[in-house]
Amino acid sequence: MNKTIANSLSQREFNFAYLDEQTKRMIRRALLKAIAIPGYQVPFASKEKPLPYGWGTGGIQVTASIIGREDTLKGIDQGSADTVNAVNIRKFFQKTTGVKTTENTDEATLIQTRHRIPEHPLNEGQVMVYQVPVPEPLQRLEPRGQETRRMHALGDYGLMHVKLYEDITHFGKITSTYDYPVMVDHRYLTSPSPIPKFDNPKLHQSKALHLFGAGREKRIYAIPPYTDVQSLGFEDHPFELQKWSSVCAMCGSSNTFLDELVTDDAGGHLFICSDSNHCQRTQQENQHNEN
Amino acid sequence: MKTDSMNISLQTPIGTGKELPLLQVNQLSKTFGQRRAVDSVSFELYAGDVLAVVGESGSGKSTLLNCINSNIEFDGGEILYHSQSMGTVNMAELSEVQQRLIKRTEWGFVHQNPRDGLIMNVSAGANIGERLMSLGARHYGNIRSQAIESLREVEIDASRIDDFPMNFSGGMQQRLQIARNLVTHPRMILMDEPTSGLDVSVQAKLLDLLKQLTQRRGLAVVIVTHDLAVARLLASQMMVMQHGQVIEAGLTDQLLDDPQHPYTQLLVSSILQG
Amino acid sequence: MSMNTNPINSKFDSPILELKDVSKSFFLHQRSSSPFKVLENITFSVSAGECVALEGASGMGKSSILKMIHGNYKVSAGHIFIQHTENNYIDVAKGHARDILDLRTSCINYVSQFLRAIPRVGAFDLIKQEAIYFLQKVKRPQSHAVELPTLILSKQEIQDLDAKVEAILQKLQISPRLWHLPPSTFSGGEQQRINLAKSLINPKPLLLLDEPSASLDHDNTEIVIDLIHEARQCGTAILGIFHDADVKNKLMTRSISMHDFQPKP
Repeated sequence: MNKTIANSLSQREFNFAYLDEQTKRMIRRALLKAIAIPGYQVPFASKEKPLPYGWGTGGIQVTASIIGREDTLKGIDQGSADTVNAVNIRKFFQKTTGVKTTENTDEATLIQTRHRIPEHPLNEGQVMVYQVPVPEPLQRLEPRGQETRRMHALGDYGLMHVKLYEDITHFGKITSTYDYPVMVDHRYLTSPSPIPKFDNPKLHQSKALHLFGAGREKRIYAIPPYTDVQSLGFEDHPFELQKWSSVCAMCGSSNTFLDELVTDDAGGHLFICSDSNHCQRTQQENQHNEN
Repeated sequence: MKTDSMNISLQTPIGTGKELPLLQVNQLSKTFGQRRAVDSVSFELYAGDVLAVVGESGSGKSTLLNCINSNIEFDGGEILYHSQSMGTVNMAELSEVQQRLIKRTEWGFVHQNPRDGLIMNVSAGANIGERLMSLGARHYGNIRSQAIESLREVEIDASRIDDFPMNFSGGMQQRLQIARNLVTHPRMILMDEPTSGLDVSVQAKLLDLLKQLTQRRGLAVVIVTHDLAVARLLASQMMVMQHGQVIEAGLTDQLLDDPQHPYTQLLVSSILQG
Repeated sequence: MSMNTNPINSKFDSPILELKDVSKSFFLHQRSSSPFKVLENITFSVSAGECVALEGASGMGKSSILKMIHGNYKVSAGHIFIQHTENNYIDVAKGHARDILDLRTSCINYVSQFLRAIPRVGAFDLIKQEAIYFLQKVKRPQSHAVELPTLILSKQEIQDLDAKVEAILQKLQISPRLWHLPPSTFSGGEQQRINLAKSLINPKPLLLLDEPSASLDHDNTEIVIDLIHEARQCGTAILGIFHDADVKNKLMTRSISMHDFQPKP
């Protein structure tokens, strides 16, 4: 480790990664339990953080509990590593741990994300940490916690399918486009966090470990590597991926999640890859191929 | 005719050895503090029986029904049910998962207030389909056609399948509740005052429907009511409850036309004659 | 047990119905603390093909006897045996509800003085339902199962039923105009004929008649006499109360006096 960093660390009043070791231990126990029961929400004692609830404290606590000196951290927010949230979280960990950070998905061992999964497939040994606002997928349908816990315990998810049925009845299709509910390991109904439904298939049989932290709701859950994750649907109205009418204006990709950018007041717009890192790499590849 | 020349084999009730009871309630008791709301009630129910449990408010009839359906926990006695999959089981010995399965597939429960038995903010079709989906039905088209079939059976126009129960009349809500219960082809239905609060003509229509349904499907029904006219119309057998006890039981028409117990006589004589 | 159109199911000499030392008392708790006896020592029987008339002034308990046989009144003492299957009798006095219900479905037709009309159901459907229940009972196997499967009748079966109902309604001279109206709106005579139709459409071994021709005019009375006569020819055992001497004489094969059954003072 860099001597400067080591010095600066020793002058600090707080522990490596901000959280005290007892708290880290508590969260790791919750994580182990979550990994042992894929998709099951494990309660944990969410600690005070230097930022309020609603700003990713769950994800930060998970990252803080497992980050080690040898890790390389990447932070993304809506696919990009240079938005305010991503930048601040990266800076926070740089300050409290001194670990290496990167904007390249390939180089990261630990990726904390808000609302997107990188386009490039993840590898064994990589860990994704998700920031989750509402961990309970049935929340909007059944506000009583006692009832939802019973539904999970009994595996009785009729209510969720009722919601999907209603969507098809009144709108002709299932309307959820993000935070689309999934069945993890054929047992628990889980919220994949507000990632677009476009990203759901990336969870299925992924080589990486996916950890989910909800700070305000005080829940942790996990999807271990090589787990079956299926998005809900009906046999005659199956889960469908989002499609765009055009390709990325920067790299020409037609199989990534695109953001719409408004370019002028006259209604001009273009579509660009949400995953900025991936977009750059594709552009580099394109240039390389042209040469 | 000479009586001694006849070879009379005195009968035993048909039930013995030929048919098995669907439901056996033995010495069921429920106490609230000092008060015995249900006091050692026993009865048997066979397929096709329609049993009315009558009594005034506070007699314990609704409590009895809620105990059978395990809406509330009873303190004493046992409930034995002859399940399709498991044979005769003691309900208390089943796991919660097994109990729930039986209650959702082989039993039905019709609440007095349809709002307690329906999801008011999803469509009629979803209300009926919910049980099917909870049991694993995953074909939208099939679920929908089954829902339409159920609506027809309770005489609700199929065009209302996407409407919300909030916008239905009381009688229609009650019929939707019945449809919701029937979709899994239960063998036994428990009803708690299903016609209270409905207009007389609506009541008549509903009772007529219930009678046809129970006959056609060979259902076993326990219907709690304070209205003896409902009992006479729907039920072949009746139990009269007072202070948590069954004070008289037997054929409905016999209890109404030739009541033996003083309380039964009082009840029957109180019916307003039209 | 096979129930076909010919209800003769006893090759033996044994009667369809037998009363043995039956007595009836009423305990009207609101009126007095002690019971009062209305009938005692009732012993008689009725065989297939007989039409027995109960004779006596009104108030002597004739209807009560029919009601006890039907299970509508409780039997205070004694036995009422009704032939259920060949050589197997059920004692109505024992009071087992399911047994009595079974008897009513397969063995006893009871024409009371009053028609219990179900609201909203038309006359045709009322009678048709009786026929359907009977058919269902016959069709449902006497198995050891707990199930009663849903019964769906074939198109042909329904057509046959409809024809049967039409035939009996026409015979009883009920105008087609009335067929789909609820009988609660009918005149006394019309209601009585619907009552009879309900009971005569399914032939059963025992027929109980309580003043079947009261409130009927002469023509209709003749029709009813014919129908009852026909039933007797088919082997039905009939026990009846006939207020009209003419009707009684045309139908009965013997009579029983109520005097024998009055309680001794």
